[in-house]
Amino acid sequence: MKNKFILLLKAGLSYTFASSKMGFGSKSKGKKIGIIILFAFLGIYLAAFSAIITVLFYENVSAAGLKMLIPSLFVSASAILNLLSALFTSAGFLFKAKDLPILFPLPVSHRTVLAVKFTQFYLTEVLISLITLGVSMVTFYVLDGVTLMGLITGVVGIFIAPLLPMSIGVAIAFGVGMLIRNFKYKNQITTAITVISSVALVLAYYAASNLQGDFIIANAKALIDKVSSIYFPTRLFVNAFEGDVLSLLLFIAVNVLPLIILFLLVSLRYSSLVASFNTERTSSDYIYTAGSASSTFGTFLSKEIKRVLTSSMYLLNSCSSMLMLGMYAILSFKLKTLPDQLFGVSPELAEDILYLTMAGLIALACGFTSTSASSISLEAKTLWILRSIPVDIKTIFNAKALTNAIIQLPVATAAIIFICIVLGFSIVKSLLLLALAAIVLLAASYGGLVTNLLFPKLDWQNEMQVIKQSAASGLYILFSFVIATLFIGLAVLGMIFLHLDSLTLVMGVAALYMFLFLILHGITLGWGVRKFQRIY
Amino acid sequence: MLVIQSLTKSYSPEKKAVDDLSLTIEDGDIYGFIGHNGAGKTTTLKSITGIIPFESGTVTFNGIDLSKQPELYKSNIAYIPDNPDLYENMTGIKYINFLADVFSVSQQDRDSLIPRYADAFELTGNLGSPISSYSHGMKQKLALIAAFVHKPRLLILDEPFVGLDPKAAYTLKEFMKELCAGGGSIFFSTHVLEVAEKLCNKIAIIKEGKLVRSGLIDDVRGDSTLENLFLELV
Repeated sequence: MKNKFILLLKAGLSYTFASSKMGFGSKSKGKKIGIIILFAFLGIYLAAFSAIITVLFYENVSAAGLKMLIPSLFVSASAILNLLSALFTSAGFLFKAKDLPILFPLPVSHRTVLAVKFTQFYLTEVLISLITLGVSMVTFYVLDGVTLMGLITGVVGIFIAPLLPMSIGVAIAFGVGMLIRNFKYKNQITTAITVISSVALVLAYYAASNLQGDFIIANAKALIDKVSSIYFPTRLFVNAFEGDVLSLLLFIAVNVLPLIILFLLVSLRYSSLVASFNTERTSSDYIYTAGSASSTFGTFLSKEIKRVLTSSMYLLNSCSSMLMLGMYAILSFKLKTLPDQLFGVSPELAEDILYLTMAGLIALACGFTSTSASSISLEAKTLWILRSIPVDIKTIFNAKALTNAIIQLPVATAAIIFICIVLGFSIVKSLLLLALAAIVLLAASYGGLVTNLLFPKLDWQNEMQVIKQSAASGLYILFSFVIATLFIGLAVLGMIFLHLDSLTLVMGVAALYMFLFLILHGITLGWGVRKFQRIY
Repeated sequence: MLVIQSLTKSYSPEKKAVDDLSLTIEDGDIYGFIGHNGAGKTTTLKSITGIIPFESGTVTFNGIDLSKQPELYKSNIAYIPDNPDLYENMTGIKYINFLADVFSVSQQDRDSLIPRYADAFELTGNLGSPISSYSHGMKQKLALIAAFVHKPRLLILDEPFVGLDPKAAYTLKEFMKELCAGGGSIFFSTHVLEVAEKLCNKIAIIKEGKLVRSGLIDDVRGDSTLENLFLELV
């Protein structure tokens, strides 16, 4: 079994991590090195984020002697992220992987196949744990020193803590999947559940952000108790961190045992469960009724929008920028007091700073993700349809690009109007922010297409490998981040050195994005069309 | 009339998948394309439908060059691969209407042709279900219905009878004959020599990317059977 397990695991991982499968199939060494740098940058960026939060927390709570709040909160935060990830990705790994029909007939036990799938799933979850809990633990050791038990607990925590959330996530995802498998609108229901959970997360974030430093310090014990009561392994982790070996053993047991039980239960009837999970509602009572004809562009647009809306994974990961905007809208209540906090500057300048800050955040959010960055890769085996029908490739591209704008613009508009009302921006300033959002979304739409055309990935097993793990999606995030930083940086320099007012500066940023959109549009419909003809 | 002239396609510099292939498919032809696995049949079909680019040669349909006017060229043809992967999130009827929109099929034609072909392939009742719930054969039937609805002048099929039940295979043959009787033409690959022998008026045999024999089926096989000829040639 061991050899077969390793053989299958290597084959499975090659789809996820091997360079040729990440979307840059060319033999160019430069490209491969570029992608390694890209993913290293993204890893460092996320790790730095965790480290900064740890430092800020440490400064707040260490003086009060409540340092243990840090491991407590980070092991909980890591568990929540693992749980969310497991809820949305576990079915793709365990029950809907496209290679399962190939693996089941092989002379390998189904238990081995399940072990391979669980391992692939676990490796993804450990990455989350490394970036959140791992980085915060290292930062904590640097700030506070290392004890042997603290070190052991930290290392064990990173690799063991994802297991319980994985088990819970698999059980919920499987249960929900089985429950709604025969529903007519099961994809839409899954998507709605996803969006509602994500909004709930944003609201929880807002509630957490209301906690002031003084409150945290005054109620640290109660907070740890509360967190522990919600997720009890936190208490075991904290106790182990403080030197209790029994707590460490219990922490390992409560994480490992459920997964072992779940694994054994699923392995009993793995292929039957997969078959049941993938059973779909079918009806044989359809009666033809005349529909309505549509234009070629209209029908492609409808196809693309439906593609996004029927995949919770695609919607959540490609439109997470809208969650960022929702968060800004909620946080705008806090930013309202920013001008008052800017002592020594005139009220006009304070408002200019506030307006430019919001414009920067909106530009960053609207460009941060794009459905188009994976829309070509998602065609995969259906690409033959697009290649054999009489349609201008530009029409396909424009439909894919517009889909991103159409899906994100209503949320962006609502959030920006809310922000403008809360912060009391004038109508002109508000309209400019709306125009900026629209222009950034358009640039993002074509930017996503360009990155996807640069690194198409057509041989995926589950769509997560395209949407979350492909070179194109990684490059797109980096691209959008660099562009937003550059443009907003220029605006800040204009404010400092040229003393320009915020309205002029935001108009300048919008003009830069418009220029970028025109360039990307030209590249997509020129080079992109030629590149598309060579992809297969 | 489809004219393929000196078509050459390589996947690597060392080996040509299709080597200087020339073939003419006239209106009314049911042209069978046979060869062993890896001979270049699918590559040829994908090349002449615009799915994959080719290095040299020309492909024209009624004088319309695939390389110069790809949309106009493709508006005359329909292609169905051996393993049709369709848009799984669509229902069957959505997929048919999607292609009908692309090929600008009138509402009147849809209302008459969709029920006709869907009933013939016994798929009408399933058209409201998502394609992800379809079996391989049902997907093949759906692809065929969607292709026939836009009334192609040339139908290009890759192993069309694999996966179809006997009744559907018979129905397909009848529709193929009907299309050709109306002035259309069909070019299809197959491993089933009996089908080729009974259905086709012309046949082409490909070996290692090169056309080794082509023309009227009686002229090609001579006094031999198609099976004997095939074994002899490839």
